[in-house]
Amino acid sequence: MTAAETRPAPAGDEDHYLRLEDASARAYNRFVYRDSDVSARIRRHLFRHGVAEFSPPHGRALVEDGALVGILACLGGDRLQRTRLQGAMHLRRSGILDDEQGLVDRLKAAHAATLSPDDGDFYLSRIAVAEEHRGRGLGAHLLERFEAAADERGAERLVLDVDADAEDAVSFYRNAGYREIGRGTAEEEGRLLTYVHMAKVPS
Amino acid sequence: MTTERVTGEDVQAIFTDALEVDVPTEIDNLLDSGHIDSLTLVDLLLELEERYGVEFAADDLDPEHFSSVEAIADLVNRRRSAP
Repeated sequence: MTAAETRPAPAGDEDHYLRLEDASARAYNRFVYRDSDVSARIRRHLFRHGVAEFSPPHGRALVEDGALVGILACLGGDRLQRTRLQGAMHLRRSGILDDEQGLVDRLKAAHAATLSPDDGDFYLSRIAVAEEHRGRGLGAHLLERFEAAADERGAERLVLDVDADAEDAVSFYRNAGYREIGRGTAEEEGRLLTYVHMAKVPS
Repeated sequence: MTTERVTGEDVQAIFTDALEVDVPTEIDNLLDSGHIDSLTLVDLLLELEERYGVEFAADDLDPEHFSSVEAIADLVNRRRSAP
């Protein structure tokens, strides 16, 4: 068993936290932002203004012996809609999206490909383990924390989106009892992003 | 002089004309049903702000306010009558 504990994000090094966030949402970030500098700038902006799904209180850092070893971001379906609205409003008001119609189109397409959780759902938004700490069961540990958080809130269903090309991740969730409930695909400028929507009803 | 109330039809017209989005009137929740995404809804709100001289606060961004075009019209009317 690990002695790691979760703390409100970023729990120290913001750059490191955001790199792990990028690892947890690589397909989405590449599809939407294309350019790594644009990606880093916008994700940092959203994070700092508390309007990202991976901002605290939804975003948590897994810390072990003072080092960041993983991240977990999860929230209820109602909070997810609210956070996405706040994030979208923030991006629009900040002017970041001005003259960026391609980016706007990709954001809309990517969001349409994600599942729309119900109010009673608890959504796994981000999960990642630092590369040098993989193979130690920390991913399963984080998933247990997600399920415990859902249980505390009396959630009726656990839901998540996973990149269809990430076969290991899909297997990971399937082995943990999650079942495919649908798929969503975004296509912009010849590039594809496909999500497998998965769900599990707590026992 | 009184200002005419904004109606669901007005909101729908903005969706159709300014944003080129078709929104069904008889659905439970615009966001839940996946008919509109958060960015499109925010673009609608910014258009409403400009047209009706209102300003939405962070607290207004509650999914409950956007269950239907009528609910959105109600929100605009409340903000217009606010001091």
